[in-house]
Amino acid sequence: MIPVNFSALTPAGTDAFFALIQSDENVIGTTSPAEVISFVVAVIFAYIIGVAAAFYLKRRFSHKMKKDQLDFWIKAVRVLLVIAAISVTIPAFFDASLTIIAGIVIGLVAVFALAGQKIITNFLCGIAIRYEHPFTSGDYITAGETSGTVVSITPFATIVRTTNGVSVHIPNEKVYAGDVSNFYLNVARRYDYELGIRYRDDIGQAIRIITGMLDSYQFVLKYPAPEAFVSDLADSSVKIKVRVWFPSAWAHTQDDVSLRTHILPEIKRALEAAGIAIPFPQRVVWFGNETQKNRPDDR
Amino acid sequence: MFGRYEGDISYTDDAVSVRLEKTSELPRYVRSCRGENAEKALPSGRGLIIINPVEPVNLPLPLARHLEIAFLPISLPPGAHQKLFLSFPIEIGVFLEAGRDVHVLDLFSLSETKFSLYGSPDAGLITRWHTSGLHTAPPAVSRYQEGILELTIRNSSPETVDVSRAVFDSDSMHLFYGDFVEMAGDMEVYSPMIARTRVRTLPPRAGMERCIELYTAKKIPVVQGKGFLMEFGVA
Repeated sequence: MIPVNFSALTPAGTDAFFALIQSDENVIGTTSPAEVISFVVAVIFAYIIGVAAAFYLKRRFSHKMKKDQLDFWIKAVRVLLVIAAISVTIPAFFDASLTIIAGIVIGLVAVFALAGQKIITNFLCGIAIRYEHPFTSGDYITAGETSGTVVSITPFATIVRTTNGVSVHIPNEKVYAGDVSNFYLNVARRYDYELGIRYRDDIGQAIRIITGMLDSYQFVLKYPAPEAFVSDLADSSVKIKVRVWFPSAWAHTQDDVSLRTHILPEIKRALEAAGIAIPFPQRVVWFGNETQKNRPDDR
Repeated sequence: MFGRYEGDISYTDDAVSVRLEKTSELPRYVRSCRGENAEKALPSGRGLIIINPVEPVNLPLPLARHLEIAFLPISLPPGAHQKLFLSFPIEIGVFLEAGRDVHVLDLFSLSETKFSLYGSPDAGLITRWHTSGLHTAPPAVSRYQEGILELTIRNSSPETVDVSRAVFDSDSMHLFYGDFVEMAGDMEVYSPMIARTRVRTLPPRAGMERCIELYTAKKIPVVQGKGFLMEFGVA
């Protein structure tokens, strides 16, 4: 059996409760019981209104705003409601004795001290990230060794979802103090590819085929136009570098790996269709006892 | 194909087929266009189906909100103005209207899509790119593939300016259809780097039907009148 004290619900308990409210005896400094109860009721009321407001905002704006932005506004509304409730009822507490106020302040300082410097640093870094906006939710970033889409920025950590579906909580301090690459901040992004063709292949024809193929690809930007040029005369091949610009928003949804799987196979197919081959690495070794005439060329 | 349908829909040509199939169960909207198919079941007491051209910034993905039209450079002396006719790509929207709600059922396009960067990667914007011929009279276009833009360019700068492109914001784009899809716009050139483009809210010719617009911002009169400020050059 669970012991239950029903005395508060009995007429005698109710009478005692109302007597306590109406009494002139102060409970905190010069604050009366009625003022304490009105404070508690106001905070509870603000909390309930906040829950209702959050439900309404989610229903109304969840398809129009990013999740973290909506969460931010919901939190802001709820905090404002609670602050409003407190500010309406708190003046009664201003007469509390200096000893009590000092006690509360010392208690808060102790809590912060116990919580540790890391938490405070993470919190401050979270504010700095929100202020400077190096990224927002939905951006694809690399922070330290983690790459993924930013899900949310909480007061203490940045939550990133990697491409294999793992959520990583990175403390805001690490994000703010470390190097962060945002692949989504600028509207366009360039990818570089390099491939080799045989020495006997026509370089001009290869470049024409590559740029023509890239130009017909709808997500390759018209301007800046794709570039292809000889970047190196290497041991086994003539190296051609290809520079392609894409809308970041598209490259973001189709990560770098899938870009390569689309573009490079297409380039290979187009070159091979024109009789241009991508050679294997090779090395020709001549022995000292071979005569000059056995060599296929004059080298 | 463009219009409002209460009953059957059946349109087929070489490139596109749109029809409403009546099955024993729910009616079904079926579309095929350039090898791509779309199929949706509709409620039995369905409302009105509307098919009309929409702002060409949605397909294959909504990566751009601006339309950039490139054309042969034209040199405009200070104070000069020139009326031109250009082509622009269109996308076709199929809407289901029920009461006050208009729901996008399908979007498709017969025109090729190409994107471009207007400005720099950090401050510029991605545009839907289209190359147009330069005409002094409405050009012949394929009705379901391209529309006609009547563009008046004014050079308000104190120097001769070469103009070879115009960028329009989809938020303030107003399309109309009749025999062809059309819109009318203005471009005021302030310098070789800066110009403002606007699309007029009135149809280019009388008797044209106004299209349902996808972007709600254009309902705000201030946004409508503002147009788009081209800050990265007009050539």
